[in-house]
Amino acid sequence: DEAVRGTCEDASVCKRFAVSVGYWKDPYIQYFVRQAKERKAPEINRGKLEWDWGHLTCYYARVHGVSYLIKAFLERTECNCQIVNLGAGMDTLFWRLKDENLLPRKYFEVDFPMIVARKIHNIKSKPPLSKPIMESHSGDSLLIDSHSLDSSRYSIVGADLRFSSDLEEKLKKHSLDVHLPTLLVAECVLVYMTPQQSANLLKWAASTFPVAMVINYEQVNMRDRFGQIMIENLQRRQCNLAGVELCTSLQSQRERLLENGWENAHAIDMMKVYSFLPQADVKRIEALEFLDEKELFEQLMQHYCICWASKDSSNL
Amino acid sequence: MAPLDLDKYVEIARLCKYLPENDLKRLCDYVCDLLLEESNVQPVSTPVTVCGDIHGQFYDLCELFRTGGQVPDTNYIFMGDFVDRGYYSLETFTYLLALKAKWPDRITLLRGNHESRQITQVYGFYDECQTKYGNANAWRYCTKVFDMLTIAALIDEQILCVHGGLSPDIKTLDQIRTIERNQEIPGFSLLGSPKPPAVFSLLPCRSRLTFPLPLQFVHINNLKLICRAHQLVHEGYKFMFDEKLVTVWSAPNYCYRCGNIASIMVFKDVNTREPKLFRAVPDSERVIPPRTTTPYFL
Repeated sequence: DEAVRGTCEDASVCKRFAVSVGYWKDPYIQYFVRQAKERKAPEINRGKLEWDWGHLTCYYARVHGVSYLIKAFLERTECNCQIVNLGAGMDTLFWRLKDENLLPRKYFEVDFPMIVARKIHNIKSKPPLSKPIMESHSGDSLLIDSHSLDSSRYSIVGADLRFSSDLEEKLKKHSLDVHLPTLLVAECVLVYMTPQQSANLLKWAASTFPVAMVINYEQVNMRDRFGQIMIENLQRRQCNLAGVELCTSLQSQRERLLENGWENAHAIDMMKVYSFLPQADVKRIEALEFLDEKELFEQLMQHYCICWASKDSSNL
Repeated sequence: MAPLDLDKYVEIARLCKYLPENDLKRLCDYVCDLLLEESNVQPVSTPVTVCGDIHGQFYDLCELFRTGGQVPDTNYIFMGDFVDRGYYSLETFTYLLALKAKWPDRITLLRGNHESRQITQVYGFYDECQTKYGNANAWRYCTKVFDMLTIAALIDEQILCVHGGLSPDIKTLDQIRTIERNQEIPGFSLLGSPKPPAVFSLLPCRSRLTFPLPLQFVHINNLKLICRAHQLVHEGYKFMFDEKLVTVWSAPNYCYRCGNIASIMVFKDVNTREPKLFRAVPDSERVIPPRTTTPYFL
C-alpha cells in the first residue's frame, strides 16, 4: 500500500514538470507538489529532465483524452451531475472546472486517508486552493478535519477503495446523491487492486447509480515483453500490479466493464488517443521536444488505454 | 608530467568506476590527441566487429565484450551513442576512452547524435556527471572528445559505418572527408531550423531513413554494405534495402524497459559477416542505482 501511495508523488511531480514546460495549463498543481529539480545548464536553459519528452507527451494525451470524456459527460448532463474521482491523489480538476464554469453539482475525491490528509493540509494552507472552495460553498460553514473535507460543491473522502460499503457510507455522509447522473473516474487505480476487488468496486458503482458513466485509465497489452519488464521493474519498487491480468488487451478491458454491470464499453490505446489530438496541439508539442525516438514513445503509448462505459445512457 | 597509467585506467573503468577528475581530464586530452590523427572516414581492416548504440548500459557493454571478445583480442568499431539514458553513461564512456587510449588501433569510436552538448543536457549524461563529480567539468572534458570523434569508418574500402544514416546532400565519401568535423553538432529540431552542415546530416534526429538513398550511395561509392545504428531494433539487427544496409543495435532491454535483444556484427572479412546476439544481463549481475525514476505512469 505504501508503494501505491507513493505513486501519487510520482504522478504529481511529473505533471507539474509537464505543465511548467508548457504541455498544458494547470495553475493549481504547483500548490500540491514540489518542483522537479531545476538546473540551469551552461549553454542552454533547460530544466532537468527526469522524464523524457515522449513520456510527457503520453501524459498530455492522457490528460486531454480523459478531460474530453469528462467534459462530454458534463455537457450531456448540463452539469446536473456528480463526479467521483477515485484515487484522485493531488488532482486539480475541481479547480480547473470551476475556472471554466463547468462544475458538476458536486465533485467528490476519494483516496487513502494519508493522501487525503496531505491534500487537505495543502488546501487549508494555500488560499488559491481554499478560496475557490469557499466561493462555491453555500450554507453552513465548511466541514473540515484532518481526514475529510465537505463543502456544497467539493468533497474529499479518505477511504480504501477495496471496501465499497465503507466507501458508500462515507460518500453518503457527504451528501452523495445516487439519483444524480454520476461519472466515476479512475486513473491508474484499479490495476493496484486484485481483479476481484476492482470487480467489486465496478459492480458497486453500476448497482448504486441508476444513471452513470465510468472512465478507467491504466495499462493494456501487458502480456508482451515490455509488459513483463514493467511488472518486474515496478515490483522492484514494491509496487505490485495486482490487477494486471485484466490489462491483457483492449478486449479484456471492455469485458471487465461489461461483466460488472456496465454497458456500451469502449477501450482505445493511447496511440489512438494521440491521433485524435487537435493537430494544432500536436504541432505545438512536437515543437517542444526532440521526438527523436518514436519507437520508445509508441511502445509506451501502446501499453496504456482509456476505457469508458455507461449505464442507462438513454438518460445521458 | 608523469606518463598516463593507462593500465590503471582500464582496470578502474572495467569495474564500473569513474576516474578522479584530474585523471579523466588527462585521459580525455590524450584521446583528443589520438583522434586528431584520424580521418573523418577512418579506414579500418577486417577482422572487426561493429557495434551500435550503448547508451550508458555499462553491464550490458560488458556482456557485449563477453559475446564478441575482449579488446585487444577482438577489434571493434562502436558507432556512437555511448551516453545518455542508461545509468552509467560516465563509466561506459570512461571505459571506452581507456580502451581507446591503451589500444588505439583496436577500437574505433564514431560520433553519435547523443555525443552532443545539447542532447546530453536533456537525456542524462550531463546530470550524471554533475551527480558523480559535483560539477560540470567532467562533462566539459567529455564533450571536447565528442567534438573530435570521427564521423565514419570504412572497412576494407567496402563497408561504411556511420551512426545515423545518410543525408540526400552526401553523394560521395570524399564529401565526408573534406568537412571540418571538430565542432558541436549544430542545433536541430523537427522543425528543421538552421539547416546543419551536410556532414552532420549523417547524424540525423529522425530515425526513419528515406528510400532509395542507400542503394544509390552504395553504388556510387563501390560499397558492399552500410552499417548504421541509431534506431531501436527489437531483434538486435535488421537488414534493409536489398541487404545493402544493416542497422545494428547494441543496447539490450533498452532503457531497462523495451525488452529487446541486442547484437554486434562480426566481419571476418568483407564477405563473411555474422551477427551475434546477446541479452541484457540479469538483475543479479548488475548494480542498480538506488534513486532511479520509473518511466511508467503510476
